[in-house]
Amino acid sequence: MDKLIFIDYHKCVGCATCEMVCSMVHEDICSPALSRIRVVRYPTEAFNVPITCAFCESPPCVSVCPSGAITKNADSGDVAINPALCIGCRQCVQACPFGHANFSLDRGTAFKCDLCGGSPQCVEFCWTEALQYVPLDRALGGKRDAAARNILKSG
Amino acid sequence: MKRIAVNIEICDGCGVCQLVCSAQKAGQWHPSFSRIIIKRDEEFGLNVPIFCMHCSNPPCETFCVMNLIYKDHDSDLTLRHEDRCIGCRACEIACPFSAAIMDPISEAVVNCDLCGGDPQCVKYCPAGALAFIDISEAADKKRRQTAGLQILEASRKL
Amino acid sequence: MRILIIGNGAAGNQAAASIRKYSPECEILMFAREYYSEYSACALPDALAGWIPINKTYLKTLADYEQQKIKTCFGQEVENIDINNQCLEAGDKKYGYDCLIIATGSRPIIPPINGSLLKGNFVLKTPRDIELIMEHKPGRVVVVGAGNIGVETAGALRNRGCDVKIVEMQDWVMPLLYDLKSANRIRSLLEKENIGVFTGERVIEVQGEQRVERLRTDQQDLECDTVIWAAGVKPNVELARQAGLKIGSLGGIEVDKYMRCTHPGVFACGDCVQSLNVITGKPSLSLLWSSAKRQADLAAANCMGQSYEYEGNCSVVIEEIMGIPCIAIGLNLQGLNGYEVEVIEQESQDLYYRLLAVNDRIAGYQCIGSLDGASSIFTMIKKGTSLSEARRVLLNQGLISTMAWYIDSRRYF
Ligand SMILES: Cc1cc2nc3c(=O)[nH]c(=O)nc-3n(C[C@H](O)[C@H](O)[C@H](O)COP(=O)(O)OP(=O)(O)OC[C@H]3O[C@@H](n4cnc5c(N)ncnc54)[C@H](O)[C@@H]3O)c2cc1C
Ligand code: SF4
Repeated sequence: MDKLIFIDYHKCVGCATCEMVCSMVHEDICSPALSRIRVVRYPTEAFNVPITCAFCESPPCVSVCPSGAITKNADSGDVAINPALCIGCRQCVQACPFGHANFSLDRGTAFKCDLCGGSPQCVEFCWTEALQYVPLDRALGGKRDAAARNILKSG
Repeated sequence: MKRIAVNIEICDGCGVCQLVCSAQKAGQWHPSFSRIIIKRDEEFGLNVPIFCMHCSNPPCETFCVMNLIYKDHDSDLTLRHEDRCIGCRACEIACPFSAAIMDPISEAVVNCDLCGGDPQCVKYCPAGALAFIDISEAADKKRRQTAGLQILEASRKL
Repeated sequence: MRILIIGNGAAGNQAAASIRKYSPECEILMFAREYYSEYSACALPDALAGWIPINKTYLKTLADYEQQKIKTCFGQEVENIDINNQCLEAGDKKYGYDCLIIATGSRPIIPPINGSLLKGNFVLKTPRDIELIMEHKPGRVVVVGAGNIGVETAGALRNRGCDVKIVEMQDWVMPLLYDLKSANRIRSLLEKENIGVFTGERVIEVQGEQRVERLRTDQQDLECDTVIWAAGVKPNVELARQAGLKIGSLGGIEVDKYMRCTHPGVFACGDCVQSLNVITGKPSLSLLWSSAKRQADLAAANCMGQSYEYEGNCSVVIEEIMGIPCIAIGLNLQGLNGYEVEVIEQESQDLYYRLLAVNDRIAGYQCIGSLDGASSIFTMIKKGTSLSEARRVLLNQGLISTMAWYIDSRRYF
């Protein structure tokens, strides 16, 4: 995985735009419950945590899936669900440490982030730039910059 | 939609759920009649209760040669017409969790039916390892209390 | 939308049921040769043995078809399919379709030898066959073929008190499912039940004046009054061939991963198709109930506009002989011919198992004496789990606690 959805928690205002867009793109309906990306809100702390698939290197959902429906592509690093094989046992939902893998009661299959095939719409529409789809290096570079600036300021 | 959830860390494998299940479902006090099974791993001292996951596209349904397994339309449970079972045990093999079990007396294969919405195993679990909760609520809880909270705490420390 | 289904077996009915999941409205017409509703072929040996009544083998009543809004054209042989004009002919009438699902199934093979038409020759395929066999009052029976149908039929007739012998052309019983060592265990179980087993013998002719009196093999004459042919089944592909659909090398209708035939709008599923094996990826005939249903499910979904791929078939055959459960999953050494196979086996007085692995991947499992752990092995075969991955999970507390279904397989690794 050279590129990932990089989340800056401090910028997220919890507006749910990403959730609306995601469900609109994938399910043709604006319903945060059917969104792949989900925002956990801690109103008293004024902190919001968008949670999406981390595309783990050794994903627990892949190991736990009893029907081989979830696979990790060794080349692209993509983790995808094949709905034809999904038996709907919800083991992946239980196994994902982030609570990302989600389950559609209508279709009876699990679903997860597919990065919209290469241009994630949640990132496209996130107006606070809390979400960015960038190569890992760039994301970390930006973070280092910010940290360095902080040190400079305080020093 | 409510389903049984297990907290493996709390389960100490006492087997009360199995006894309660066998009494409720088969009128016997013996774990081999129970629809909930405790898989025990001696090496790690693990006890994991396993029961029917009520899959949405159940493989047991595909394997049943008598077509007696069906998804109930309203409750979305995987149920059986037990009287038609010929005991070929194909569903037992098809189920990844071996959650379909052969009742030794009636020789029909059976699975958990959530006791019609009030699972007795959950009610009597002395350790509180079993819970009967809504599945989307469970996912929300995990996101809020595990993943999100960790990030929140990490950011507090900054 | 108008969908025609040819065949009223496991595949045909599953296809109809799955179509109903997608569309409660569309028109479904089902054609079948026989007059009666769906039955379970797998329950026939149980009915023959007298463990269950014959009427229990019927899975549906005609009212059920009506309730599912399936129009039935039973007792109508489909004579011709005109795939270019999208219609088929049955009983002087033409039926147009938008989508055709061929589920014509298979039929038992009776080799063209002398005397195979004499009174006293039977096959076991429909509930009607049981009635015919029972009317004949079998006393001394020879079952030709020691596949799973042959072995089950032999056990059933033994239960009825008949004197039963099995003749098998290959060198051991159930040669397509088990290896020699496990087959020998099954053989001794059969012999304990007083069933005579003769392997490596080819049947030459059936002798008799009016009815069957004797069966001649290349090694001996067997006195009998009944011969039951269980020497394999053959896909019913004549209709498809006539229509111009491609027939594969093994004699089944050729379909792609989406269960589509070589002509658009035509799907096929069940015993009549040849599909890929999940382990080797080579073409194979599955001829099992579960594969028929799975394929029908996918054919129906794809005919309703999905694009679901079939993962390939993996056989699971469970047998109970003298109360001892026997199970064979995946391929045996013969099926894995040409691969380097690692064999893990263990033997005790009343349990024998062997696990076959190819390139570190679990490919087959045979066990006589217990079904414990078989479901985790089956899951691993379908999933393509490697032996090393299985060991990694079993040795890791964190992994095993989330995948407790692995625990049953601990004894193998
Ligand atoms: C005795 C016995 C025991 C078995 N035991 C097992 C077991 O234990 N486990 C297992 O997995 N499998 C078992 N099988 C195999 C299993 O029964 C078959 O795989 C399954 O029935 C295949 O279903 P199908 O729908 O593909 O075909 P079939 O059931 O053969 O149905 C074919 C249908 O097509 C119709 N048809 C064919 N040609 C035409 C035409 N030209 N016009 C109109 N209609 C036509 C027929 O009338 C029939 O309704 C057993 C089979 C037998 C016979
Ligand atoms: S018995 Fe097994 S396969 Fe069937 S629904 Fe339950 S968990 Fe799924």
